[in-house]
Formats: sequence, C-alpha cells, structure tokens
Amino acid sequence: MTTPPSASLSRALERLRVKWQSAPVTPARSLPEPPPKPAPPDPEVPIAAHAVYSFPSDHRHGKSLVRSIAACNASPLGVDAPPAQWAFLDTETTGLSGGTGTYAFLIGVGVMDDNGFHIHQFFLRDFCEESTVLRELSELLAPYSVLVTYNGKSYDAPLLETRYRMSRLDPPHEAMQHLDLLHAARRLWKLRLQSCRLVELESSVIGYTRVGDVPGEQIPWRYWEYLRTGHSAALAPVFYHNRMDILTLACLTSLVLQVVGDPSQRSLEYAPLEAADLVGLGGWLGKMGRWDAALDAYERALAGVLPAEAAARARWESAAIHKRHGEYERSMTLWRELRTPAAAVEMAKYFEHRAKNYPAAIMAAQQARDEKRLRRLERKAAAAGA
Amino acid sequence: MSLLPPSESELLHSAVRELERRATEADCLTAVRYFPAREARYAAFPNWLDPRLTKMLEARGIAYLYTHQAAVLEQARAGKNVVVVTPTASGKTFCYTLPVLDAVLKERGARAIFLYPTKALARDQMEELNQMITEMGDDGAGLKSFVYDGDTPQDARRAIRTQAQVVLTNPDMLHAGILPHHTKWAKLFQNLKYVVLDELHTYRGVFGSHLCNVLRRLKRVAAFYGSNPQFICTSATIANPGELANRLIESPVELVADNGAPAGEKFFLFYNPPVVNRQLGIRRSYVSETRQVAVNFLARGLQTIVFANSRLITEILVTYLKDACEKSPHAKFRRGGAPSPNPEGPSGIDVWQEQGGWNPDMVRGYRGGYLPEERRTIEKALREGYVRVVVATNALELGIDIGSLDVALLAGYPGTIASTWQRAGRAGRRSGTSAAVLIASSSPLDQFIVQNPDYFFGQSPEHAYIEPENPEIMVNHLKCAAFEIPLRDGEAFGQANMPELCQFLTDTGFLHHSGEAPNGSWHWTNEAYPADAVSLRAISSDNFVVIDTTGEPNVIGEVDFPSALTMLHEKAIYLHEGRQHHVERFDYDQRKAYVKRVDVDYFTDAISNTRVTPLEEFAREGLRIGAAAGGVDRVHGEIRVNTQVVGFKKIKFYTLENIGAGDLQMPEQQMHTTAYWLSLSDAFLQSLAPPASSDDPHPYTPSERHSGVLALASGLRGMATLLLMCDRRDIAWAVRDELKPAFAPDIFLFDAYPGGIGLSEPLYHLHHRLLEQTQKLIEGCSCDAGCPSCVGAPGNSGERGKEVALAILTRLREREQISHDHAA
Repeated sequence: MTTPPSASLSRALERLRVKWQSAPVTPARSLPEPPPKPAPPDPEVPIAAHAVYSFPSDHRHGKSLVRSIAACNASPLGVDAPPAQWAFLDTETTGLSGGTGTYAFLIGVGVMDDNGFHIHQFFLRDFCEESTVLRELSELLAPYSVLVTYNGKSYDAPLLETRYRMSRLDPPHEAMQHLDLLHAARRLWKLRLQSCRLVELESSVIGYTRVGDVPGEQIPWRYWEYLRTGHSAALAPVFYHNRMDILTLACLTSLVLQVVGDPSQRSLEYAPLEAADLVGLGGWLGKMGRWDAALDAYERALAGVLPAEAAARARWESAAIHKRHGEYERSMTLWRELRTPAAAVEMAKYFEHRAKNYPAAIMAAQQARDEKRLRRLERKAAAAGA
Repeated sequence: MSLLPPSESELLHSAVRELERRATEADCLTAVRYFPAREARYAAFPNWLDPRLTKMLEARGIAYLYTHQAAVLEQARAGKNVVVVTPTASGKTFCYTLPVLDAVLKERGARAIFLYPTKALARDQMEELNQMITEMGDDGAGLKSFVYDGDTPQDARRAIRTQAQVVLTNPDMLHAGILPHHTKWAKLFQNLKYVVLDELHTYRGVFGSHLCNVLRRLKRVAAFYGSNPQFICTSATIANPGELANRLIESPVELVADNGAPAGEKFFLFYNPPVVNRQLGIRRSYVSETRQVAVNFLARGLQTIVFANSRLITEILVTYLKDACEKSPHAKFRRGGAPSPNPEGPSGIDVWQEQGGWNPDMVRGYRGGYLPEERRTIEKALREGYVRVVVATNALELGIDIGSLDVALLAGYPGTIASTWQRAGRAGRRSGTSAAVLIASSSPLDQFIVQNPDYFFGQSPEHAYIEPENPEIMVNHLKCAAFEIPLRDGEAFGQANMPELCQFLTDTGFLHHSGEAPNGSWHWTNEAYPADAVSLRAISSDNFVVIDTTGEPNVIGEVDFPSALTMLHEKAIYLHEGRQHHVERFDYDQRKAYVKRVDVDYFTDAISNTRVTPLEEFAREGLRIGAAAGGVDRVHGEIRVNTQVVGFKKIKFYTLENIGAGDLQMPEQQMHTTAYWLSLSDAFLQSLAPPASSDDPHPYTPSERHSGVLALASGLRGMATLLLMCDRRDIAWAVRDELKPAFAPDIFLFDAYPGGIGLSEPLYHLHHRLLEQTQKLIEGCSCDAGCPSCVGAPGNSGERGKEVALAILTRLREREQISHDHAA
C-alpha cells in the first residue's frame, strides 16, 4: 500500500489536534485555571544550574532549630555515620507516571556543617544540560555516605537511576546507605493525621506554615511554561517548595531520631508526639524489641486523651508484651478492660492453660463465642469434675 | 466383518462416507478433496549446533531435523533475519528455540525476546521451552525463561528484568510495560541478540500497523544500548510472508517456505446447506446443519473442534450440542471394549464411556471473554480427551496446545483462505486420518467459495496488508518514542515527515526542542504516560466486565468495547458457556454489565445505525455515462462514521423466528477512516429503465431505485472482501442519501478502523474489476429477487432491489465498454 497523499497528513494532524483538545483529560491542558499571575514586584528568578541557600545554625523552622540536625544519632535505625555525612535529597519532576520520559528538573540536596544547613539546588535550564547537571550532582554527593529522603525508595531513587542511565552515567546513590523517612513518619503519625504527606507533618508536627507555596500538581506545568517562554517568575515558588521540603525533611529526621533516642521525650525541647502518636511509637519500639520503652509509651498514651481505636490498640499491644514476659496478671487487667472477642479468647486461654480454671474459661469462651473452645472446655470440665 | 473394533482412521472414513451418502441425496456436498499423507524430509543436525542441544534432542528420540528447521538454523547462524512458513504441526517451535538456545548456551549473557500475539500462547510456549531446558539437566542449569505480561506478579518482575535470558511477552506489554521503562531492562537490551515474532500472519491490518511502529521503537531502544537484534519470524501460510515480515521489521528478510514436516491423510469437504425455498434463495440454517454434521462425527467418538465466526454463534452451537448430548438415545460407541490406545492408563474416551457416553459436559465453548483458568481447564480436558467437542472462535486458531483432534468443522467461511487452512489444520497432526468440513452460511462470500471450490483450492491464500504510516497510529507511537528516548534532529522514524510532526507535537504541548539544531533533540514535556493512550488492537482499550448477580455478585467474563455495545445492552441475552443471562443493567461509565441467569428460548441480536459524512477527497473521477450530463463518480477519501446501537431483535432458537424487538439508546460511537465510494446522480438513476426481459415493464419507482442502491451496496461489499482477500470485518458499507433534495445516493465501502488500514485505496483502483465481478455474482445467482447469497433478501433491500442493482451495473459497464473501445 502507498502512503496517503502527503497533503492529508496536515489534515490528519488537524483532526488529531481537535480530538486531543476535546479529549476529557490530558493533564497538560486540563489545569482548572492558570496559576495565579505572580504579583508585580516578583522578579524573574535568577536561573542558575547550581545555586546554594544556607540556613544558619540558630535558624528556627517552626518549633525546630537547625542546630538540632547536627546532633542526630541514627544508630537506632542502623545508620552509624554522623549527620555531617548525610545528604537530604528531594526532586521536582515533570510527572508522576515514571518511565524514561519523566525528568527531574530540580534536584535539591541539603547538607549540614558547622555553619548551618546548606541546600544545593540543581536546575535543568534545558534538557540538553542534563548530563552536566547529573555529573555535578555526583560530585557533590561523593563525600556523603547516607542519603535521606521522604518516599525516595520508591520514587526519587529509581527516578534518578533512570536519569543517570539515560545519560550513560553511574548513579551516585547506589553506594550510599538510604534512609527513607516516610516509613518512620507513618509509624508515628498515621493514627493521628489524615495523611503523612511531608507538608502535613510540617504544619502539624513542626508547626511551620508555608507562605506562597505551589500545589504539587502545578509544578510540571510551571516548568514547561518556563521552557516555552523563558520566563522564570512562575518557577520561584517551585524553588521555594523544594527548599522547604528539604529543610522540613531534615528537621523531621532530627525529631524522629530524638524521639527514638529518648522515647520518654523528657530531654526534648518540645514534645512532638501527642497521645495517639505514642501508640505508634510503642508499636515501633516493640518491633525493635525495646519492650520497656514500648510499655512506657503505651502507658503515657493511655494517660492522655485517645481515640477509642488507638486506646484499644495500646491496651492490646501492652497486654501482648506482658504475656510475652509471663506477666499474666497485668495482661489480664488489660484484656478485661478491652472487652473484645479477641481479648476474651486470650482470657479463655489463660484460664484454660495457666489457671486451669475451667468455669472461668467457659465464661470467657462464651463471651468470645468460640464454639470449638467451648466444647473442648466443657469436655475438660466434665472430665475434671468426674 | 472384523471382530476387532474399528480404528480411528476407519471411523473417520465411515463418517465421511455417511456424510457423502446423506449429502448426495440433498445435493449439498460441493467438494470432497482428499489429501494423501505426506512423507517427512529430514536433515542432519548442523555440526555447529551446541552438543548440549543435540544431546537433549537425541534423548527425546529426535535424530534429525526437518529440512525447513535446518534451513532456518543456517540462516540464523549467518546473521540473517528469517521468516519461516509453517503449517500447523510442522515443528515450528524448534525453528526459533534451537537458534536461541544455541546462542544462550554458547554465550551466557545473550538475551532474546519472544513475542506472541496472545498471553495464552506465551504461557503455552514457556512451558515448552522450560521443558527443553529441564531436559538438558545440568547443561541447562542457570538458563532462565519467563513470561512477562500483565499477569506477572509485581514481586517477580525485578528478578525477571535482570535475570531472564529469554523473555516471553506480547506486543502490548512490550509497548506499554517494557519500552517506556527500558532503563530497568538495560541488561536485556545491551545483550539483545534475537527477537522472535511468532504467528506473524496475525500482525496485519490495525494490529500489524501498530506492531511495525512498536518494532521501530524497539530497534531505537536496542540501538541506544548498542545492540542490533536479529529477527526470527514464523507465519502460517499467507501469500506474502516475506513481504509482510519485511514491512514489519523494515530490514531484509530470508524466506524459508519449503516445509519438510510429514502430515497424515486428510479429507476436506465443502458442505452447502440444502435449499428450502429456491425463489427466496433460502437455505437451511448453517448453524443447525453444523450441529447435524458434528453429531455425525461425535457419534463415532471422533474428537471434534467446531469453529464459529462470532461469539454469539459459538454460544448458540454450544447450546445446540449440549442439547443434542442430553437428548441423544445413543449411549454407547462402537469402540466399546477397544484396547486403550494409551498403555499408561485409560484414555479420555475410555473414561468418558465409563461415565455413560453422551453427556453435556463433553461439549465446551472456548472464546475470548472466558476467564484464563476456565480456558486452561478446557485446554487440558481437550488434550486428555474428556472433552469431545469444543466450539471455539478464532481464539483457538493459533498454536495453543490442545492435542491432535480428529475433525475440524468450520461453521461459516472464516473470511480468508489463510484462516480456513489454519483452522482446518487444527484437526490431524503428523499421522493418521483427519477431516475438515466447511459448512457455508448464506452470505455472498460463503456461497461464492462453496460453489467455486476450485477458486479456494487453487488460490494462494491472502496477502496481509499493513499501513504503519496511518497518521493517527504513527503519531501516537512517535509520542511514545519521544518519551522513551528524545528524538534527535534528523532522526528518522519510518517514513514520517519528522520536522512537521515534531513541530505539531510541540504546538500541542507534548514536545520541546532543546539544544542547537542540527545537534538538538525533542524531549517529552507532558505528564501523561503516552503508551496508556494507545491500544494496539482496537479503537478503544476499554473492556467491560460482566457481573453475574444471580447469587453473590461474581465476575464471569470480559467483553471488549465494540462488542459490548451489541452484546451487553440492557435486555440482551448474554450467553456464556451456553448458559443464558439477562442483562439487567448496562453501566457505560463504569464499564460494567450486571446480568442474571435466565432460561428462555431466544437470543438477542442488536440493530445499529450508521451515518457517514465525507470529509476530504483524495481522488475523484467522473465515469462518463454517454454524452448526458451528470453521471457517476468514483471517489477515494476520508469520511466520518457515526454508529449507534438503536435496538435489538429477539430471535427464537432453532426456528430463528423474530419474536420481538426493543428500542435502545446506546452512546453513539464516532471514527474517521478512509473510504472508496460511488456517487450516483439523480439523473443517472432516472435514466435507468427495466430491461426487455423484465417481467414488469413499468419504470422504476423512487422506492425501487432506493432498494436497488441498497442491494448494490451489499453486493459490492461482499465482492470487495473477496477481491482484497481481507477479513470481512475489515470492510463495512453504508449508503448516504438523506441530505439531498433529489435521490442521489453515495455508496461507501470503508476501512472499519480509525484512520484506515490501507484497503480503500486499492478498492478505488480495482473499481472496474469490482463492478465486473459483482455483476457476475448477481447475474449468476439463481434466486428471483435477491437472496442472502447475492444482494440480500428482498425483505432487507426492498422491491425489485436485485433487478435495479443489476440495471445500474449493466449500464455502468456498457458505458465503460464504449469508452474503453474509444480509448483503444
């Protein structure tokens, strides 16, 4: 077959254009409204491929002090290198879909030294600069041995790996230890907060409120607008957004490590954990095998104001720890308070196997509606009676 | 009479004789062809073949290769791309597994991709390949082959990406799951030595046009990693396997077509259901005739596959055959007491007889829309012989292993010669006797084939056409390509006009040019993942799920978008495994249909309306009708087609009576495509007069002229599919007449896919032959006033439709004759 006459290509393209424009959702054109016009005094952002912003040690970010980052000890999380060897990293990208067509157009890296916290921002002024930018990033990262991110294990790290492979370069972070704070944050704050997005923790935990931030879904659009027009004003909030993400990540890391280092929070300048968060902390400490600290966290949680679900969890987990250590009396107290079928089963087990008190076990099994156990207990009771 | 029970071969001969005897009475066997067994031709293992492979083959009892297998091995070793034409059961798997295993044994890093048109085939072939690797024992240790498709568990994917030497997948997964993430597959692409395209002949039309573009992207990505893979393709018999392979991979290809595999003897019969009313041209229903013929073979214990051309007919036949099994008085078989053919244990047929012979469970359906586990169960039961009859759509036409069957029945002409041979080949493997029977429906194409057996048996099978430059297809793949690797200035992508296209994609917000020309490149600047917007197979990638709410809600199947509108509308009877379900609710937005089990004596058939609007004309030629002004034009151009399902009919089982109807308001579908059309002027139609031979000398009324145009359109379409040798679903027809004050209609024949797949342009050029052959078809039909075998029954087109259609053709042809004479 021959190709259609060449004039028809333009017609075909025109029809495609109409079709794409009428298509229900194509993100590039589907912004509900254009981003707000930057206020008149907003200058064009000076566009550099590499810029550094510093926050002195006594800078306060919400309730956090920048200095505290330097004092971090991450050995409870298996990271032995001191904070001076950590690089906090966050990327701004052209999309969330993944794949080789998604670019990291802004890569921010925060590092700590005696003078304060310094954020390096590597910006892709145009795609053809990508390998240069990546090489510079590698150079910067070379002395650091720990990469700290927020959701970076599933997002930033693979994305950067793809970018490096596309430029035929070796990714610098392959050799680094990777601490992804998302998992820690989820453990601590999931019970209390609607979401564990970084900006949510920033306002609820660190107590900082951003001014002039940009919604994440607008970020790619603003970059393309810059590429098309060369105007950079719309990018200023994006740079700010990236810096705040990194500063918050560093402060949050410090907070999390302080809490894990001193679960009683007695030595802390301010207590970032509320009652519900203490239940999450207890769970985490339990996973680490720090039973006493976990019990202490649950106890303090139960002394505070707790949603019913969190309270039940604190009692159930505490009871499990006590049981583990043979402290059945303590467990029994908590199971009695719980009044759930699962707790009744535990009580029935205790009466049956430990206390050998079959009538009590039968009552508990009835409460639990555990028919199988009930039948067995009735047989045992009959045998014991006979 | 022998005391020994008859062999399968004798049973088959007797079944064929019985069919001949009965058919001769009704004069409905139009062809009985006998194909004697064919001897194998062997070649020694090439001396360079890795000894670990020859050892494994010899352990299997294989001492020689077939000649065509050896030829492929030599071509592959010489670094050539190769396509091998392999009929069913000719050992095609070795044609590509041997060169690939040889390569990965000699060089452990080497990698290969095997592409199959369906997921099921990939699974089937992986088992075969892994079997070979296992049989190599320690020699094969460490060799790994995996299927990577939408069903591969997430946690297994990483290991497959880095470790598998052979990745078995399908074009859709390559397109949407592998290429856009090529950095994760760096190992594979750096070491990619072979790409295998199995069942190449399926990559034609829309699917082939897409695949060609996917392969362009594959080659781009491979080149990025410094590899340049060789292609090994297998194809069923088509007219142009070499050309198709060459168009798909866009490199020179060696053709190996000399098949050295043996084949058992085979009968091929053409069966035309008897005429019950000559005037109306009505024949007995081919569906119930298929049932009769199937029972003839079934009664002798012969395992049978029945191919139907639609899901609906598949289900109807399952219903009929299950009924037949339930009601049949025959409960035993003449083979009773036969020694089991399988010394290891009882064969399926023995077990089945112990269970009492006829029972509805030995009849199963098989089609797209059955869930994968259900299909696996049916395939296994077929291999083991428990299932004696399977009624299938083309889903079983490809190489899924269902063992060797005795008989293939084709309910209706499959639409192409290639597909007919392929389906017939499902019966009979390398030895023994088998039979294939084509049972013709009353469609013009079926009737032409069945009444002209020499045409079928003497004709080479079809050409496979693709149109990779279809603008919509190509632009979408260009987007994917840019997403994968930026497009360099001056880089080629097929025959595309890259500067114009890249500019277009920049204007529409998809690309951005970076760097200084001519050393710059075009980068993807959109949040969308472009592969998601492109389905390789259909207009839309959507599927509808069918939820049975009789008891606990339960998903019983999936239906693709275009079929869903006709199969799952409200009040439709949806048939699944012969069970009837009433569609209670059709949720278009959520792509779901809720059904309940029912037991009724009818099925439903949707009615749709088609509206065509011409958009552009590429070519137009006035056909001179004498000296008179105004005439007939032939046109090639682009059109918009709007279709809508507007109602349905209820049709009774067996009698096929129309027992009710309903209106529907289904969402309208729209596409742009290319078309060939005839523009008839009012003056031309007014000038027609009944021929002297007509029973009715009155001039044609406007309504009769209208009937004639509809009749002609239907006849032209039937002949067009035959001339182009394409699938009948590839070309659709429509008549437009509502927009003009006088009756001056356009008859459209169009590519049934958005953007066109290259069928309407050849039709424009074949115009004269099309008219000539259609005239012959209509003249040659013995019916009085039109029948389903020529221009459609009078009830469909209207009064005097056939006569007017013929008058139009005669007049056009007369004038052509004159102008040709003048030219000469």
